[in-house]
Amino acid sequence: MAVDTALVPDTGYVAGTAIDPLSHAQRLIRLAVGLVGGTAAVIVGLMVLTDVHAGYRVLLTVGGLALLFMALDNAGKLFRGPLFETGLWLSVIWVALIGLSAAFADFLPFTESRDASVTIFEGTPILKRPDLFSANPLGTDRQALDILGGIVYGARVSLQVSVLAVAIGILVGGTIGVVAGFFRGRLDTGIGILTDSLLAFPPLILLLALASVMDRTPRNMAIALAVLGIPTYIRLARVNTMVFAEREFVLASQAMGASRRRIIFKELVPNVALPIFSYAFIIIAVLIVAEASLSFLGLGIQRPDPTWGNMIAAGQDDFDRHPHLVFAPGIAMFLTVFALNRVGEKARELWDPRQANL
Amino acid sequence: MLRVIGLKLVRLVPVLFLVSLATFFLVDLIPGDPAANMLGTDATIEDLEAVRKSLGLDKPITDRYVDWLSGALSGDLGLSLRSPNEPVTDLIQRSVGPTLRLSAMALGMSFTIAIFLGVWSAQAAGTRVDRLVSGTMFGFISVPTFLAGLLFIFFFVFRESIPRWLWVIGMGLIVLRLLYLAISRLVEDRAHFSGWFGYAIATLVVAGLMMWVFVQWPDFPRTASHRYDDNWREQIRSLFLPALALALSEIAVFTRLLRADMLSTLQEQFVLSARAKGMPTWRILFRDALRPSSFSLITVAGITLGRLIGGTVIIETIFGLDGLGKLIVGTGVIPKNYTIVQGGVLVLAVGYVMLNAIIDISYQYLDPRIRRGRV
Amino acid sequence: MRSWLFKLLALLMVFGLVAAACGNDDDDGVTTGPDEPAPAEPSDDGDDAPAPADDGDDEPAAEPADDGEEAPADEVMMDGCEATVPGTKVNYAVFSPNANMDPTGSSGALVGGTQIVNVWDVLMAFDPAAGVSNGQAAESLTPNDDFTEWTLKIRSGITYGNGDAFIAQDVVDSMLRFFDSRGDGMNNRAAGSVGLIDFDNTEVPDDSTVIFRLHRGWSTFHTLLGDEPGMIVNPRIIAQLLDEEAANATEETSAARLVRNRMAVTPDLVNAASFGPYEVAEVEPNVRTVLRARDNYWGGPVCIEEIEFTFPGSSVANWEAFQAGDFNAAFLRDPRVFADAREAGAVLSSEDQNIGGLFLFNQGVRGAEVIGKDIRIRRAIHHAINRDIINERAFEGKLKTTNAIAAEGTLLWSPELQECADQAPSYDPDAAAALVEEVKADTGWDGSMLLVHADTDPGPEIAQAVEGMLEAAGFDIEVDLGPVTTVLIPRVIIQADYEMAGWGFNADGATWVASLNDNLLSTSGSNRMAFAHPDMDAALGELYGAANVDDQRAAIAAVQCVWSEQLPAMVYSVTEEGLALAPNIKGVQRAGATIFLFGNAYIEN
Repeated sequence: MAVDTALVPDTGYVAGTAIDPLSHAQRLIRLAVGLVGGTAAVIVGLMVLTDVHAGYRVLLTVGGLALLFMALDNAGKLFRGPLFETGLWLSVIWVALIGLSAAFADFLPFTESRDASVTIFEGTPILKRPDLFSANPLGTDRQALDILGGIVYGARVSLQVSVLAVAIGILVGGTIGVVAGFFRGRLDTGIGILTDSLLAFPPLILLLALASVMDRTPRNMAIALAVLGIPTYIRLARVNTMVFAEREFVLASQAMGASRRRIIFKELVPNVALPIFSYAFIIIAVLIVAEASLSFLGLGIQRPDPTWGNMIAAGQDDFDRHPHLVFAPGIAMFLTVFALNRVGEKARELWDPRQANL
Repeated sequence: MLRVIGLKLVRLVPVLFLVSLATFFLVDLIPGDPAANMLGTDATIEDLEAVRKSLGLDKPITDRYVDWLSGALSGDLGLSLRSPNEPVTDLIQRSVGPTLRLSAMALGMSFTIAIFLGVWSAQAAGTRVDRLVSGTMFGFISVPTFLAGLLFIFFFVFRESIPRWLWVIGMGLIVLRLLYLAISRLVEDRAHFSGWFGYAIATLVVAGLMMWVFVQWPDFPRTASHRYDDNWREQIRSLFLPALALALSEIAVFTRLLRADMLSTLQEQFVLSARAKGMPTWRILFRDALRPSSFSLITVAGITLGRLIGGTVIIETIFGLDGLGKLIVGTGVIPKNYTIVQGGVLVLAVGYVMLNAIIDISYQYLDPRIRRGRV
Repeated sequence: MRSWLFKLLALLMVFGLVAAACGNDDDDGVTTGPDEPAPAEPSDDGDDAPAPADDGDDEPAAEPADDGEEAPADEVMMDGCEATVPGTKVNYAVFSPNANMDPTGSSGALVGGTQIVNVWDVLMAFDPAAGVSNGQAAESLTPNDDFTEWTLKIRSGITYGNGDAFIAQDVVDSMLRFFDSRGDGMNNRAAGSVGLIDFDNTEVPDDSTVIFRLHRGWSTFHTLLGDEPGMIVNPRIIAQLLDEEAANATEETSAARLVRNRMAVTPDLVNAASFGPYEVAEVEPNVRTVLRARDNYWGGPVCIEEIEFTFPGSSVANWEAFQAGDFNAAFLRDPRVFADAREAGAVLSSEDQNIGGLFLFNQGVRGAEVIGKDIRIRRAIHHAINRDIINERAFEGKLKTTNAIAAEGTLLWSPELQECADQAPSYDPDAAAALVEEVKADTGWDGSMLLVHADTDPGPEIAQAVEGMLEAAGFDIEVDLGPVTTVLIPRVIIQADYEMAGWGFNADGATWVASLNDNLLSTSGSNRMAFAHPDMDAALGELYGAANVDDQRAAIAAVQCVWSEQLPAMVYSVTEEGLALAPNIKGVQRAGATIFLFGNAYIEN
């Protein structure tokens, strides 16, 4: 079987080489139109039309955002050359934003978003509709907890769990994979069989089985998700090790009588690390979804730790009457997964040698 | 070649053994009292003791594993812990059908849509259409299955006019674009019949499809818990939303794969010569280029299956479809009915391993070129 | 086009029905007199009692349909059917799928009640509005003065699916089997109540009469015959099956259990042993059940050809699916959903279950030293919890909160009862904090307490709200949330490792006596709290003998008075449960508070 694993959606995407026929002047005009129109539409959609049906406001706002995106795209191409990837940069910004706000969540001025007992005596109304310019920009849930705060704290849990899982995966899987790829032989076969056995479980099924055995704390969840990722990393590391082990510089240092340990740590690991790391973003995205799916089934991290998955799960029964309970965390998760995928793909394009010769 | 296949099969044996071991012991470690789930809220302590004994939970774990494995090999996965204690094998057999139907429909939908989108965006590589399709596909991949399920219920079941009009707008744009192409070709080169005629036909077909779907827009059910074993129309209607939710990410994967492969195929000699001979574009695309390009879809079949199985668990839970996924989660994991979890997970894992082995082998036969190309 | 037309029609129908229902309700209010005398009078049969033999063909389809259902009675008579109407089908969304078709293997309205009652039929059908039972497969049931002796007359001419005639001895045999099933963990409440029958002295003077003698006077014995024990399983078939399975039985798995499991997956056995309006056509235990009209139902032609029971996933999903048109009958049990359904003008047939929302306090089960033993703590909890906050947080204000064990508006409520209920400590956070302080100072207890609650929606919200309020009063609450089967039952029943637990007694008109006795009697095996008080035992004793609705009210009020003094548990709401029905389904009859008999139902074009 190919190197790619059950986790990584192998897309075979070839970056489009944009052919851009637009002239300078056209771009400037579009930039201006987009900026002005987009901003206007967003402002009108969000602030002015407060008593119009929510659907129209959403439509207007989304349209405005599209115009703004167009303007940014034009600005980027105008000032940074025609190969500027606006979507990619926006993705980087979004990931950074989520990461930073999660890191500094404690310093952000949210009203209570985790402890329901606090809200009882605070007097925050329950199920408040989103209103961007109030204390609860994305509304409140049934416990009067602030949803924006929940999203940020949820990002913290989701990111912590999946980054930790990826770190464990890289460390354990990477080590085993390098060893297997370097020594080959029986060891490799044995490891291969173990990896195959782990991969024999459809990913979510394995996670379900793990989740049913463990206490559902964030730490355990990270371990379960790491188990999910380990075979992927073993295979990635093994293949890359095999590729590099055949390369001239490794052969040369072997010929010069370098010890195995030296070859592994000085020659192989630094080279194998980069392609492995290049997958980290995409795997983080996959694990965020996996954790959320588990929480959705009621088998993931439990309240009071908010995660996007358990926020959506808690809101699903009220979805029809209070759509913001699902839409707010849902959109946050979608954007994050989208951005991570996008960044991750670029990373693979840049750092994974096999990707280049596909 | 036979040797390669033989080796692969031999390797399956230890894998399957480890899988069975892992399944049994992992699930057996579940804390909590499996006997408890056989009782209702008005049970007494004495009831519990009786039930616990009747389950044979007092035997040592190794004995239970040997019993279980030898049973499993002869198709006996034990009895469900829940009244009326049916054989797990029966339960699995019964619920496999709906899951297979759902997955087959999801796969069918994703292939159909992906072929259309993949060919189109490859043919239009680099244009705005291509970029739009790529962006959308990126979006599809980033929507978790459970969110897709919830959103579909929200929009298709309770706000059906929104998707209905979105369909009209989306398809309307395509129609306009085709119409524009047809007219421009006509104006450019009236003599060359095939150039504009194809577009004109396409315009009509797409416009017809748009209208037909708009008029025939079905009432999608909220749940798929009914079973329409003898009425395929109803079955399709009730499985449409769950299948579409499952198909979403597969559409994206297939489309992007197909697009990439199409791009390279379109550069190949035979396509270029066909173009030079003036064959109509659609013919080149669908008759000549599609087949060699779609070969590599097999390479992702294993991954697709894994994701699909995971997806069915969630989708079946949301839509109340009584398939294997709902059996494992709803009847197994949540009430800790561990014989069902063991049996279900074992069946899924073994099936998955086998299918992957078959895919692996068939792919050695089908296209050695791909194998060489992928390390 | 079609859908517009349909919506318009549906709207008109709903409108018409609501109007009709409102009218009917008013009537009910007048006729349900407070002093309905002795229970168990077969209300319809009074007139045609002299000629029971040819009852079978005598338009019986219309008979029971006019008890308290929405549709006006005379219309039902007009609109029944001559024979089963092909293609008519009820798609019924259940609250929870049933494992078993055997009455000894399923319990109550929530798990399988409606499925099985339509197959087995019942001897008496309980009318929750009036608090009396009407004859169904039985013709009459008459008590003696002190309710220790009950004479049952069964309807003649009824035959089981296998052709055997239904005779009086079958009732006794079937009941005995039910009694023997206790301890098998399936339907203990009913099996326990059957134990009040003194089988040794019960007589069967002829093929149509049973004289039940009870160990003690029990004025609501008739409800038992409307419950699972009142569903008669042909004892000859059971005997034969027991013979067959005797060889396979082991020490751990009894033959009775094997028989039940076999019946659960073999529709033919169930059909041969039953005489209800429907036969089992297909069954997948815990997933779905399909019933088909029985050809020779004693009550005349069954109009609806097929009923399919499936499980969409939750009460909310049931309602959503009903709204989307996937189902034309859906069982609901969530106050928010009921509010929605009322707003949408759905036709509802529902009942308030008393003591539906409740917190149990562990008062030393199996000798455990727990803080709940101290009544000051129980009082503090009552002071600390504001029912309205639970309501607002978990139920969007749609819950019917109450501090009484019989809520206002339910049959057994009385002003006296309410007076006692109001004497229980009410919301007063300062008093709560003071009590907690006092206990902490006296005992050195640190304020910690374990709250166990089910995690099904809105369980987590209830638990969070309660946690918040208790912590504000100085408690230090640890919450354990989980599924009923894996957390709630083990924690509360098996390990008794809890201090406070979210629970419900769900006492409706038919199950009052048994449910209060089970949970509160000091000697009861299902007393989960180790609550024991002689006053309570005495008050509960009165319940059995209460002769009529007035006496019952007085007895329940007495229980409430002890309750308010001793605070065994904290009631916070009634739970409404029941059926949403498509407006064109008519003639559905209640066979218990929220169990529905479709024998005389039909679908209007």
